[in-house]
Amino acid sequence: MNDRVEPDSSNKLMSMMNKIMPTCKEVSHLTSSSMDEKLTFRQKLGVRFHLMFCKWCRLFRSQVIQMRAVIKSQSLAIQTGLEEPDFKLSAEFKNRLKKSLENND
Amino acid sequence: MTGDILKSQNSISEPSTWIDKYGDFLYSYAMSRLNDRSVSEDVVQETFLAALKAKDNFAGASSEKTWFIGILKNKIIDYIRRASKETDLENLDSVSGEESDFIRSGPMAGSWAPQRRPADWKIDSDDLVEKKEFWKFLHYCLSVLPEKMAMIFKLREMEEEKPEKICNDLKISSTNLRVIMYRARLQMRTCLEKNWIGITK
Repeated sequence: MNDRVEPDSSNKLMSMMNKIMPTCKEVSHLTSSSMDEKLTFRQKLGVRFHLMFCKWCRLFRSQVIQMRAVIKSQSLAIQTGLEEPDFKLSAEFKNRLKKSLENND
Repeated sequence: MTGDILKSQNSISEPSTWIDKYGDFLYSYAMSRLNDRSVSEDVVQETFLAALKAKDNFAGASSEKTWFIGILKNKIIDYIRRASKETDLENLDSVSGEESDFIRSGPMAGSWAPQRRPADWKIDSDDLVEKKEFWKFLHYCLSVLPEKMAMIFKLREMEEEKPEKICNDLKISSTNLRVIMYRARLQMRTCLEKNWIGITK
């Protein structure tokens, strides 16, 4: 038994599976949605089932999770000052800003 | 000079010192969200002016820096909200993000197109240099997303706004948001794989 269905193999088992299983397109869409909201029981079941057989969708899932994790940790690093500022305001802008703060104080 | 560090946590420092202390930091933060120098300068300026007005309300419960970030975040969200009203939502529908990602017809319809099958990224979450590199490419990829899509993606992923709130603020349906987020993620991953993964391999 294969542990996953190769998308380009075409046997009977697979065409049967495809009838019950959501497609990669559907599963990737649901995977994305699951990052923002709860899926229904039925949707979850379809996704889980598909993921058992489909390496590509498992990788897609891991990619969107990694994207979110890096964004989160990097945002945190910037916020807590672990990272040096990447950009600097020009001296000219700073001076203008200082003046406008003085005038408004 | 060193006296600044010992300053009482409960009262806010002199406004005249703010810009040197937090200017570059807030600007970098804004750039990471907005990716536009003049817009980032504007929101930083708005932040300092708003802080000036609100300085008596600073309770000292959070650090001064956190307080400034809070104000800046609101300014960034305001900006994205305003800007997204000016761009046409309908344009998004003509962006065929996922079309070429999947096989269109035949018995394999709906499966990943062979050239678009996701690869194993294996980002080492302990490797800070690698994470920083990845972050750079992420920024590049955000900059090539359609503008409105990028803004919504950032509201969700960077500002961690709740989906319901984004829908409400931007007057879009939850279905629409789902599609936008899906397309954004697909395009981001394709772009990252082409650029970042291509280089590290």
